[in-house]
Amino acid sequence: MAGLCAGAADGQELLAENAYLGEVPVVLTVSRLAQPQDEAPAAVTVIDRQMIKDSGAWELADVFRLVPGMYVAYHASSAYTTNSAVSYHGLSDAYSRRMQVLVDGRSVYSPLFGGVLWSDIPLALDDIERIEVIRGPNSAMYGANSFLGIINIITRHSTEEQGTFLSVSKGTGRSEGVARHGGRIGDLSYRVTASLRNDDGLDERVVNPIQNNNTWGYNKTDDKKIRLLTFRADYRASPVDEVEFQFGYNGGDRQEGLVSDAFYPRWKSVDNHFELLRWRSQLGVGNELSLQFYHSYEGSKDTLLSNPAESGYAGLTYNADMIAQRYDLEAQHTFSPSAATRLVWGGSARLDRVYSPLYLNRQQAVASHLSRLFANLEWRVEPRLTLNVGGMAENNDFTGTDVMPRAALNWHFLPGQTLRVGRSSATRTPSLLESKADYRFRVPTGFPAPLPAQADLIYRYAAATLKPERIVSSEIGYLGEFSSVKADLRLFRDEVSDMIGFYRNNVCNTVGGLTPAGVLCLGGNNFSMRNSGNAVIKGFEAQFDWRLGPDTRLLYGFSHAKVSSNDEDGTPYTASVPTNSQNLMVTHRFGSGWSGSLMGYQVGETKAIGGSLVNSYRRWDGRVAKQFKIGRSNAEAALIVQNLSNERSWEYDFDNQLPGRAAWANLRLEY
Amino acid sequence: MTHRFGHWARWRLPGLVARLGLLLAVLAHAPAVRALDNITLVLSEEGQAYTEVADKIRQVVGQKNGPKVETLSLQAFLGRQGEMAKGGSRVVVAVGLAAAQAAAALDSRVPVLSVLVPRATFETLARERGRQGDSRGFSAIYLDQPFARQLQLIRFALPDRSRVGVLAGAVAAEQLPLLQAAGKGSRLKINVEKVSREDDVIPSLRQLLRDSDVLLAVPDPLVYNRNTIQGLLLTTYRYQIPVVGFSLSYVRAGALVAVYSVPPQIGQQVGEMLLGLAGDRNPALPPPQYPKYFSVSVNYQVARSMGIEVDNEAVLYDKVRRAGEQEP
Repeated sequence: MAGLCAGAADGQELLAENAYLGEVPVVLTVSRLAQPQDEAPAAVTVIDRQMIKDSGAWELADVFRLVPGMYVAYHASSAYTTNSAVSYHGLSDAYSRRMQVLVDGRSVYSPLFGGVLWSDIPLALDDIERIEVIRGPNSAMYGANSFLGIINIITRHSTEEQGTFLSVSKGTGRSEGVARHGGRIGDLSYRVTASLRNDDGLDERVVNPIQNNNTWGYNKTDDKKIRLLTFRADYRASPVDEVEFQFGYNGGDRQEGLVSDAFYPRWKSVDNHFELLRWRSQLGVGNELSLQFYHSYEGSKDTLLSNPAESGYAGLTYNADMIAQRYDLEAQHTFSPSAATRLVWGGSARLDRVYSPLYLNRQQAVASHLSRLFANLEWRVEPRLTLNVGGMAENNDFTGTDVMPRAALNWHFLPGQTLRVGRSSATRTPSLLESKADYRFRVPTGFPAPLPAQADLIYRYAAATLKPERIVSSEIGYLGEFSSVKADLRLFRDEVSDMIGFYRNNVCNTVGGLTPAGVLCLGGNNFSMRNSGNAVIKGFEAQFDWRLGPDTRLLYGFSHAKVSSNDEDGTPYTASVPTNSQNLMVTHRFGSGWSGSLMGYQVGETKAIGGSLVNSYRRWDGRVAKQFKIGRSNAEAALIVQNLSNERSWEYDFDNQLPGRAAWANLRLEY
Repeated sequence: MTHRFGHWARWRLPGLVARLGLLLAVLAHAPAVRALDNITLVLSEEGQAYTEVADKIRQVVGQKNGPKVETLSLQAFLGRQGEMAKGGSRVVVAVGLAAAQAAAALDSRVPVLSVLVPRATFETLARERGRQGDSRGFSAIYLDQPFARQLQLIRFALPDRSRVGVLAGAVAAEQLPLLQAAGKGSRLKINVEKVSREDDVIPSLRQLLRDSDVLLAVPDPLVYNRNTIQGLLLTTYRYQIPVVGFSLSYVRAGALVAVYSVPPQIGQQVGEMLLGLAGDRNPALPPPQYPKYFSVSVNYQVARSMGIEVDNEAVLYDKVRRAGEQEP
């Protein structure tokens, strides 16, 4: 056919018939099944690109403070001290084990710890298009570990990101430069983002430490230097076929350790990357086939050096290197079996290989396998009634085959008014660390022969076969759309059983043959894991999105939750979720390019698993920005202040005191 | 003919006899009248769309004992341009822009009807050839739909949306006065964002979508092309703002709804127009007109994903058609 237009005599472009009669490339959906919120089988909080920017988030984890029921702690963990804790409905240690996190359909749930290392993901905040947080289990759709919630991060398609973007930030304890370029070569479009970030993390010293019954004076050592490169290419093979390739790298040095620990604080180097290839084909309207493969590599180099003042040993070193690799292949087909139904089904196979001599006491990588089969049906029983039913069958090396069903009914009882009743069951597979931990240190005993010259100090040992953790979650949800307000209310009951918890277990007495001849076994400080924990979480959540005017928006979230549990093995399940927490975000565009936003967060008293009791706190963040033009380029200058009231509160642990008022300036340019 | 039939009927002759008489009269009469001799269809190129138009015209015109219909490729036409003014009376139907441009160069005594050509393109062509005032000899059946029809579609498909966004490059910008005129008096507010570079398409769209609750796609090579279309549809999808497209392909690709005419519908209208001219030795073409036959398509997957309830296609089509009939 002729080109889209033909030149006329005077050079003016003329529109030809092909503009109307030609083929148009079919745009494919991004999530498993694209549904409006009032048809979805679960409560969803959507955080879009604009909200991320307006919120003044410095790191990805910050963003989740805007989700009702989500608990975020800045640098929480005692291993991986630069990592944030993000948990939904509590029951979490520092590693977000009971939540699934996907970036463009790729799981970033760590094979070793079974959690997410938030600042180590090869993902630039500026590449994110939107984040969908599913509040509640959805293993039927996303497999095991989609336990208390799922975070679905969707990055921008390369066709949405053409041209060049530069951003520089500088302020209290932080600096960053980001450069991105998007271009096109024929039917191939691409974008490349590179960034460098230095972050001083927490203040070195705790300010006014006498709170929370603690007098500890030092925060964690948690500086980080993040080097990031992401690349995405989308190739339009035909009007109905698209091939996507992604590559991402996140590396650099991270501080690790605590001032008072058996090992000196140190720098370790991180090397993470992934490659993803996806082919999607539109077989007809609403009939889509996709095939995806990814490989991810999570590596760190770290050597432990004993601190004699704390450990009693001088000059001992241990190899704390870690390499976790994942290979995952998935096929998915979405179609409409009838006018009133849509079905998405598919399957996947996965191989994880983890090398961690420190935590697994093996010099070789440990392999584990996973395979899945899933199907989800959306049935519009009648225009006002939508039924979602689905399930996943999953087989893994640790617990065999698990089946995870889900059903939800959405009733649009009036236009814009929806009631949802749902029940979902999910499992969490024990992580490799929980299944195979053997965390020990070989030390000299100082005994002269015939007593052993060496001993193994065992701290964590997987002594028993574990079952998966289980959750059955029931909910009643309400979604209301009024002229300027959208409301999302939810009453829930999560019944969690077989939670894996620690118990003290001197394995040297209970398990034989743990050490070779000539090595003494010392297990008095060992913890093992067992399926002991049970808890019921009941509560209420609300989320409002109020358009106060064409230029003003108010978002408010509230969560109330109570956990009842016997706190088996001394695990503080009952205190691990703040009873009440709320979040607020107001944004306003003043005109002539000025805009401003104000965020408020209030979190109740919490004692997270592995953390310490921290008081309730309030925090205010603000952002003002001015957009302007430099020639043809769009520019924006912004000032962001976190913790406006300079409150010195704690999150998660007594050595994680939020930095005081922190401000930085950001300048961005798009041309 | 219908006139003559009415005339006979008024004489209250027995029906059968009357009809037979009419038939005989027509059969006997037809060869005697000197009518249009030739219809020459010129196709811009080979391709389904062009043959569909040609086939439909033949089918409609060929039903009667009418003029000779001849189909020429553009190549063949260029070689025989000189003959067009000879060999009896003739109408040239140019199918597509390339054919229209070639046929516009013909001797002005040969009437040329351009089809499968958008209105703006035809008007430019007529202006360039100095034939704007000469619709009897140089006319068209446009490929695009009147804006009034597109706005009616928005009204019926999306009754609670009133802010219509339009992204316009230089080509679409010329259409804006027509669009504004069509929007006048309706409750629809038309927001326009102009674009001058391809790289600005998505940023300008984002700007536009802040103040719009539906995007009306107006063809423009800068805005809607193979490089931009995917990002464009994705962006509107993310803003949950439906797109009103201008072809079935757009609906398949992710637009919510479109009103458009397919080649056989255009062919039908051309055929009917030619039938009306067949009795004239020196036919005068009617003024340029919009498509009479059209279709409405909805992408229900998109509607569902966006949580929009849309009538079924037949109901929507009916509403749009009736609203069009009521207009002056």
